Amino acid sequence: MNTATIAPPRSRRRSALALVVAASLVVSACSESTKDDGAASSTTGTGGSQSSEPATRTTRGVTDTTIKVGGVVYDTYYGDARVGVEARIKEANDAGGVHGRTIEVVTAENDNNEATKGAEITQRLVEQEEVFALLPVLSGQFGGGDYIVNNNIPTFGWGTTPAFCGNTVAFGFTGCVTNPNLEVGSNALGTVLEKQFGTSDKKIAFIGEDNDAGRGGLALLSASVADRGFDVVLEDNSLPAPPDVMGDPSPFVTKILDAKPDIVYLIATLSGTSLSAALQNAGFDGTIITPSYSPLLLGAPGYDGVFVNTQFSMDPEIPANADMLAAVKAVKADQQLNLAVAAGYWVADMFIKALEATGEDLTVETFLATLNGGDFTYEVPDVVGRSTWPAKHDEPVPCAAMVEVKGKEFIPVVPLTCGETITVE
Amino acid sequence: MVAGAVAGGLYAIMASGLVLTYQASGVFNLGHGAVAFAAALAFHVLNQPPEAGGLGLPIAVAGVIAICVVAPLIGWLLDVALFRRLASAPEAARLVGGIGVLIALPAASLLVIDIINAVFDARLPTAAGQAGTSPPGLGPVPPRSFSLTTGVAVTSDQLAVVVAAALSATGLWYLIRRTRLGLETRAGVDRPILARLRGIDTDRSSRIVWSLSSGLAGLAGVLIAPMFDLSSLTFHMIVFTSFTAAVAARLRSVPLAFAAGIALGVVQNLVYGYAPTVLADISGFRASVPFMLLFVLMFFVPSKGRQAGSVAEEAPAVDPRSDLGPWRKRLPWVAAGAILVVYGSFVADAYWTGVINRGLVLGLVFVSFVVVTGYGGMINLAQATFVTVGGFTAGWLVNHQWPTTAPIIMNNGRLTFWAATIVAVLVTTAVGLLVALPSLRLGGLTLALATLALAFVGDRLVFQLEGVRNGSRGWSVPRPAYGPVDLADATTLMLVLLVLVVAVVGLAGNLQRSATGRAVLALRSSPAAAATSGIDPIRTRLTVFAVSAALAGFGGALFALVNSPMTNVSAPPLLGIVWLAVAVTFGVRRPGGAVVAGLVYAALPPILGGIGGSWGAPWSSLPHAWREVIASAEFSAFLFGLGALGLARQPDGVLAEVGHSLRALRDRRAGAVSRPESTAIVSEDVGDEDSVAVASTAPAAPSATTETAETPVPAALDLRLIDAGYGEVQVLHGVSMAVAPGQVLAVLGANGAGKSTLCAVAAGLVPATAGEVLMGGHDLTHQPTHQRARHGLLLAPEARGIFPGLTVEDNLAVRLRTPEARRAAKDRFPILDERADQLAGLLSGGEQQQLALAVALADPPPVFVADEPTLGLAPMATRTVVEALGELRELGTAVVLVEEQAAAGLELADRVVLMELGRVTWDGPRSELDVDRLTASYLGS
Repeated sequence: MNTATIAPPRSRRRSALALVVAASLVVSACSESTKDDGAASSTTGTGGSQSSEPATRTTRGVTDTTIKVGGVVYDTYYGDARVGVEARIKEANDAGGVHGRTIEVVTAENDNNEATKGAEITQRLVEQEEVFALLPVLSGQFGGGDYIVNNNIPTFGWGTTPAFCGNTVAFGFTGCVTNPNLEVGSNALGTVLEKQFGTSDKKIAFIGEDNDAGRGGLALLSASVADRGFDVVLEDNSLPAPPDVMGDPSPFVTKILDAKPDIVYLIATLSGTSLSAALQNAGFDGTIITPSYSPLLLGAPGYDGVFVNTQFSMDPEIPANADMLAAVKAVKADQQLNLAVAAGYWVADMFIKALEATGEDLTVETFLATLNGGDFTYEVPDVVGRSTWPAKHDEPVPCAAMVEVKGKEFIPVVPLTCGETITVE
Repeated sequence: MVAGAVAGGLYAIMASGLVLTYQASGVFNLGHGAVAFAAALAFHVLNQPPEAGGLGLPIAVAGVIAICVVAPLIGWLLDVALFRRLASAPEAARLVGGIGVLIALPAASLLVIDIINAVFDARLPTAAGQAGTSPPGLGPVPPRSFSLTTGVAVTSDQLAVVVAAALSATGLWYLIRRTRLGLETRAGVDRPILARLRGIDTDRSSRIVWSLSSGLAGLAGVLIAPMFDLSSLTFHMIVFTSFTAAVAARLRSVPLAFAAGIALGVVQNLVYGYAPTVLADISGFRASVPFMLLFVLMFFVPSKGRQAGSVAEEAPAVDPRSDLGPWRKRLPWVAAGAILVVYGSFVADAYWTGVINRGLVLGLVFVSFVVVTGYGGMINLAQATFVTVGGFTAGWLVNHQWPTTAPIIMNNGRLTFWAATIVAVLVTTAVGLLVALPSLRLGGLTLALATLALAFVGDRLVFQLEGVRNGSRGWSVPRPAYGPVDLADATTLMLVLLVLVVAVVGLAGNLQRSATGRAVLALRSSPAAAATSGIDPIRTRLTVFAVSAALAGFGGALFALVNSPMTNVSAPPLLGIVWLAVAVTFGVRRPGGAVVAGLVYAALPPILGGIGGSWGAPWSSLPHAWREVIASAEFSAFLFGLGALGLARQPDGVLAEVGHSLRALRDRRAGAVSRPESTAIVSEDVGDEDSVAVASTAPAAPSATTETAETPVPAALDLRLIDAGYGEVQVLHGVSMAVAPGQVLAVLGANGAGKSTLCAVAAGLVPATAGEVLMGGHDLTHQPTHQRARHGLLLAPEARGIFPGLTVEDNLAVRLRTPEARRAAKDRFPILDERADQLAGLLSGGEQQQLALAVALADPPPVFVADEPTLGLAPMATRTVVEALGELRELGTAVVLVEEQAAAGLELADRVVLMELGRVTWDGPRSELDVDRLTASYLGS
């Protein structure tokens, strides 16, 4: 090989490079514009639902006799939500549908907690299946957030992901649970604890997972109890976050015991029971609280004796819950009551209430206008706290309940109790 | 400390399994965690009570089946079906084989359960990842707890880990250092060919090692299961963390890996409990400590690539399209592109166009694999990190409001997408350089692990920061419009992306043909030769790495555009690893393959989803259970994993496989069409060859056979009309010779006469394409090397027949199984006794030759073949060798002495065979050899 043969490809490469650069310059010279020149979250163009322009009437998935819906679910945590949705939709359809329309459910797909997959499913449901609304969306990493906003897709689910915050199309049945700006929270936890102990003169240690989401969630909870006058003695985000797991709980146990708390609140996706078991084994005799309500955990070491706080009541004795459970069993006889099944049921319930309120003239625009109009409220007495929109697009429903794990049973100890939304600095 | 040993025990078990298999087969199994997961799942299914759908076996029985049957069986299968075949494949293919296991095995295990449930209407529990469903531990149920000090308690499950770790450490140590199997394995690892020559079935020991290592993974899996949940991700993470321990042991020493695993657990424990507040306040700092350690440790691992630098590391790929003109080569691509354009513009709806768009963007990202892996031969497991860097940079820039605005590059005070993309490319390139600079000096696997470490540090530390990822909502990238060209329209976006893909593919192609491309190629085939030709290896590799990072950054910006919002979980590290597997599966040598890979990766899941769910006829006629299986996430993961496993068949990927098939078809057709002109040449060739072969063998063959007929016992070694060669090159043409017990046969010939090939054929290292190999009258032609060795054929290969990495004592023990025989060997060569505990590689040349001879002398084999035993030895040492060979003859051994130096050979010989260009030119008793004949055979007659 001599240099003469090397030269041509090199110059070709240069010219190709030059071409690409030139092309991109030309492209950028044609002044670039985006639909969205304001804040990333605001919706313009197609998103103007409140402006009652008669021109747009989106009736995708709606016929005179049917309404089509479909959802995205992360199976591992929320797979049973399908049963809850099915149960509530069946009730409505058996009663003749809503305003003469029965609801068709495209079985919710599993996004496997992958954002890109969730986005793809969302697009498919809307554009291929032509669903009227997304029902339910229950996933930790829902990736369709931008799509539902840009395309004005009514979305119903549990507002535990940012997609349920800061827009006008997504509706969480307990509001926007963790607002990503971390400025709006509620004092629900503090209120529930005050009710349980009859005083706020208690020391609380918080321990959560070591990522920014965990930090944010813990800060909101800590503000919630501080608002009611509890003494936060530890706010520690050192638990390994998924997919990491805790090999050994002893450093955390030591840390917690050193803070000498009366109450330990622990949020741990994968290591919750092993940490509470280690705490109990180490002789901690105060109260341990976790948000993990799971019948599968009953009987697991470290779960017995723990208090579980939930955003809505899981007490099966309450009439609304009893009805829900009956409907669920009618669909699947051996279905256990868990958070996913209940969430699926209430999400569907909220959707149906919104359909009823909208009336016969159902378009995406009339539907969203009804929901966001401020007159529509959703509430299930003693089970799910009251929501109105647009307020709940940015804040959580400030309610919570608590049960105690005794052996293989959940014993309700605090019924649904509501506080207020609070601002967190 | 004691408590840290719990996590440490798991790391230790995993790390020793990894080191074990790496040592035995050169494969660093990234999919080790998948084996653990499969075993844990089996344990769970076996142990769950019947009312929960399981089989209800007692814990002990279920545990034994999972650890001692299921896991080793998986390892055995993996070895036979995959890793054995990959052993000689390029590093990238070997790593991707592991990735294939990582993806396919958990998916396959869950699929098997799904299918069993569907077909037999069973209710086996899968419970993968379901919070709270964990099987019981190996200890008492519920686990008992023991208080150590105040505040520190250990449960029986945790204690089981420590006990199991200690037991398996002792067991492993004993097995490897004290048993025959261990010795054979170590010998096989040290010099696989020599091990086979010494009668060791290396395939068998490889199978055993893989079963053992998988058994360890299974043990860890069953131990992990009760403590965490049954999610394959958990298992992978524990294995990835244990890489640190494996690397700390320099990927060599199992006991060291074990100790490092324990130490890692303790360190992690300390970090979690007692990290200084300044650091602990940074989200993810604690979780990234093992990976930071891994990154640092890399620099203390001697790179294997550098040691083996002089040997050609990889043969360049054969291009099956070499017979086609430049336009014929491009035609399929042009046609495919045209079909895509027509389909995307006129047939597909916005959704399917969107799928194509995602595929094209992924194709762009995959081209970066072509540059770094396909061209550069380096493996980068952090490509998803570069994509995230590119996406975040672009996302931040298009959303950031600057106080002023500028024409062209800005729009109302915010950077335009294209300007942001250019900056994203620059930033990613800078990050790529930053990563590459320290780690490029490392070899293939080490670099791969360094990038893996980086990927996890990025994922846990950098991309967790609120400012970087814009909180959990991520960065939204609105689709820009340029006058009438509105990228919000899927079809327009597709056309623009296609243009970009063509440009990038062209660029990548040019890079390969450029001076840099050739330098890279030179580096890959021989780093030493490249360096002497004035190629700066670091600079060249750096260039390749930077270009690849730039491409990934570019792809990242577009990735953010089509997958908006870009969050820290849009492209997690594990996804990047899956991408690599998919890209390599389709062929990483050519950019076109990458684009196809991207499109398939994006389109397959929705297509399977359609078949399994929403599509009507004819799919709706499939049984419901089947459709559910097809649509499940496991099924597509399984297919991608399986594709990666297919590399065992064709390390260059699917496209190369297709190309080779097409080439074969063309060749066959060309053969049929152009028969008239080519037959003449062919027949001439054949005729010529035949006549020569007949002519040369005519005198030799009868002499050999008559000889064996005369002697009452059959010849100790009898080669009859042997043809053999390498690939299409035939080296031996109808070679025959025979040697009787107690006879020395000298095979003489000039360099290139085929003497060493003859030795290799005799030992079974090179198969004979025609002819027979007999020993003592037994036909061994189709016996593998180790069987021939067990029959008593001992070959001392050209470069000293010893295991340099084993001690002198172990070297002797490989063949001399009794202490008495070893004693005799050491009595014959006292120097070996003095150096018994030294590594044989440290002996001098003469001492090494003595060691090789001692192995034979102490237990004389029926046949001893010595290939150039005096090569490069001092006269004194040569003397020893000649004496030893004479001794062997006295002991009744048939000695074949292959020599280039005639003098040395002739001194001992009873018979002489002269070879020339792969043929025997003379064969007869030493006394009848005349010097002219001999000279002629060296100078060419």
